[in-house]
Amino acid sequence: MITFYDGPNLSGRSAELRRFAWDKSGGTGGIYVQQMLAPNLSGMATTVSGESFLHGLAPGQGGQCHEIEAARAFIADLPREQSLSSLSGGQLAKLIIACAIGARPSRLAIDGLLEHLDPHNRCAFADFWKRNQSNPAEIYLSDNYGAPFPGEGDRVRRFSRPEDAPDLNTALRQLGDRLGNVRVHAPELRLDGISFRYSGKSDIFSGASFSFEPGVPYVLKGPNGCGKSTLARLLAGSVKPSAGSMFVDGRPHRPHRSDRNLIFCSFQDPLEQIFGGSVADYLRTLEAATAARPTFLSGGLDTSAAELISAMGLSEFAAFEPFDLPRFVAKRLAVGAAVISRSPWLFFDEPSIGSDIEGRAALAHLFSVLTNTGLGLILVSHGSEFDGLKDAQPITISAGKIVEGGE
Amino acid sequence: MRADALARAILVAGGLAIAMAGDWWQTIISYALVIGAAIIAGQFRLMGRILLATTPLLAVASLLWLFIRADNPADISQVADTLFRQGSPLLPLLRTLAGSAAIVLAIATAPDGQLFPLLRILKMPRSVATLVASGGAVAAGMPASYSRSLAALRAQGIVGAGGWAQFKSIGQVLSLTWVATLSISFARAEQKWVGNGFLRRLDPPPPAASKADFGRSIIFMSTGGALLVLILSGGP
Repeated sequence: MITFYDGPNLSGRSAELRRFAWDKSGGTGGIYVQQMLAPNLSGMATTVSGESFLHGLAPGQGGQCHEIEAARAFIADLPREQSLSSLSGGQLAKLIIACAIGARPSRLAIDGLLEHLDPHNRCAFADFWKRNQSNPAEIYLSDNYGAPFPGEGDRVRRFSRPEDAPDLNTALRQLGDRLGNVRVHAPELRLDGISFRYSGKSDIFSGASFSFEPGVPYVLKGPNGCGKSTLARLLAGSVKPSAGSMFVDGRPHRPHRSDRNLIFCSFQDPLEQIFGGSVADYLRTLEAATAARPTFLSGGLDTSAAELISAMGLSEFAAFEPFDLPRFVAKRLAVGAAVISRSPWLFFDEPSIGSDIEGRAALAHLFSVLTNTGLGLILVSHGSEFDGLKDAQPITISAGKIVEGGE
Repeated sequence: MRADALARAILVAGGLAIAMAGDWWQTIISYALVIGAAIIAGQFRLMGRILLATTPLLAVASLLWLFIRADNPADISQVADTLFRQGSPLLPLLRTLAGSAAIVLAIATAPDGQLFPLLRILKMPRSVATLVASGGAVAAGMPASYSRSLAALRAQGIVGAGGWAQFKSIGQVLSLTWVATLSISFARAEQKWVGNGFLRRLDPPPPAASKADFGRSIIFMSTGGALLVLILSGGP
C-alpha cells in the first residue's frame, strides 16, 4: 500500500516524509529519496554499473529476490557503462528509485522524484508496486503530478501550508500581471538538418529541421533520454552539432561561436545552474553578464535582479546559499532568472517539477504572459499543465527529428 | 570480490616490496610474487594491466642498456657491471617506478563502485574507506562536472564563446562546480550516509567458508608472508 502525502509547497510534506523514513523506532529505519537528483546518489561511483553494484543490483548480486529482479528490470534500458553525469534527469531518477528498492528498506519515502519520469515510466513504477504487494517495505510518496497516484486503496495524508509561510505562487502571478503590457521583438529560429550525438552513443538528432516562431509556446514532450535537454544545449551553443545549420531571422547563426544573446536555458536540475554565495549574488552576476552582451532581443522586460527577488517573493531567501534553498524555491529561482536574462528565446526544462497545483497554474500564467510579450518560449514538460496555453504547439523528438505532436 | 580484494592487497604489499627491495633478486622475486598472486586470484585483467604498466619501464631500461653497449662495444662487461652492480642508480629507479605502478594499479583499477566494499573487506576503517572511495569518485567525476558547469553557464550567457572567455569566467565555473559537485557531497553525508544508513547497508557480509576459499586464503597468506619477509629484509 502507498501512503500518499498530499499538500501544497512549504506545507511540511518533505520534513514528515524524512521523519517517517528515518524513524528507527521500529527497526533499522528506511530510505528517503528527494527530488534533487544528485544527493540521492552514493557519491562512490561514476557509472550506472558502479551505482547498481553498490546497491546490490549488479548481475549475480542479491540472489533471486523478487524485488531486486524487478528493480533490475526497471533499469534494464539504461546503458550499464554510461557515466552518471551524462544520464538525463528521468534516467537518473529511475536509477535512484531502483537503487532504493534494491536496498530492501522497511520504509521507502519518495519525495517528488517521480515527477522526473515520463508517463510510461510513472505507470511502470505504479505497476511494479502493485505487482509486489508482498513487498515488506511501506512506501510513502509525495508527488505533484497526480495520476496514477494516489491509486485505488492508497492512503492519503493531507497537509496545508502554515499561515506564515511565504506565498510564492501569488507573487509569481503578480509578476506575470506586471509584465502583461510589455511588448518585445524576438527573431525566428530555424534548424536545418541538425545532427548530433554524444561520444560513444547513438544519434540524438539526425538531420533534424524545425522552425520556431516567437509568440508561440512550444511544449516539448518525449520519453526520458530522447534529447530534450540536448536541444537546449544545441540552441545555446553549449554543444556543437556534427552537421546542419541554424538560422536566426533567416541569417546563418553559429551559437557555439557567437557571443550574441539568443536563448536562456533554465535547467531541469537547478543546482546545475545556480552558482555563487547566495541567491542575490547569482542574480546580480547574471544581470551584469547579460547587460554586457549584445542581444537579438528588441525591447526588454525592464526588470532588475533586486526587483525580481522582491517580485517573486524570494526576499527571505535572498541570502541563502543555492544548496540551502528549498528545492521548489531553487527551481522557481531558475525560472525567474530567465526574466532578467535579456534573451529573446527562453528554454524551460521541466519548470513545474516541484511545484504544487497552484504553483503550476501560476507558472502557466507567467509563460502565457511571456509569450504575449513576443518572446520565444520552449517548455519541456511530462505533464499537461502547459497544454492549455493559448496557441500552444506540442512538439516531440522522434527518431532523431523534431516533429509536431506530443509524446 | 573477496579474492579480488586479497589480490589487490597482495599487489600493494608487492609494490612496497619491489620499491624497498635491496637487490635484483629481491626485485625479481617480488615481481614474480605479485604476478603469481594476480594469477592465483584469477585476476588476469589486473595482471595484464600490471604488465602493461611495468613492461615499458623494463623495455626502456633494456634499450638504455643496448644503447650503451652499442656505444661502447669494448666495455660491455664494465657497462653491465656499472648498471647492475649493488648501488647502481638504475635499480632504485626501476624499483620505484614498478613498485609505484603496482600500488597505484591495485587501487585505481578497482571496478567502478567497488572500491569502498574492497577497502572494507581489507578491514580499512569505514571512515577512511568512505573518504578514499568518495574522494576517488569525486576526482573521477570532476572533469565531467566541470564541463557540465561550463555548458550550463554558456546556456545562461555567462560564459562567452572561445577559450579566453572561458578562462575569464573561471571563477563562476568553479563556483558552479562547487555547488553541483562538492556541496552535494556534503548533502550525501547528511541524507544518504546518516539518515538512509547507506554505509551500514554496504558493509560486507561475513565471508562464506568454502574449501576453495580456504585453499586460496592459504596461498594468499603464504604469498603475503613471503613479501613481508622481503620487505623487512630489503628495507632501509
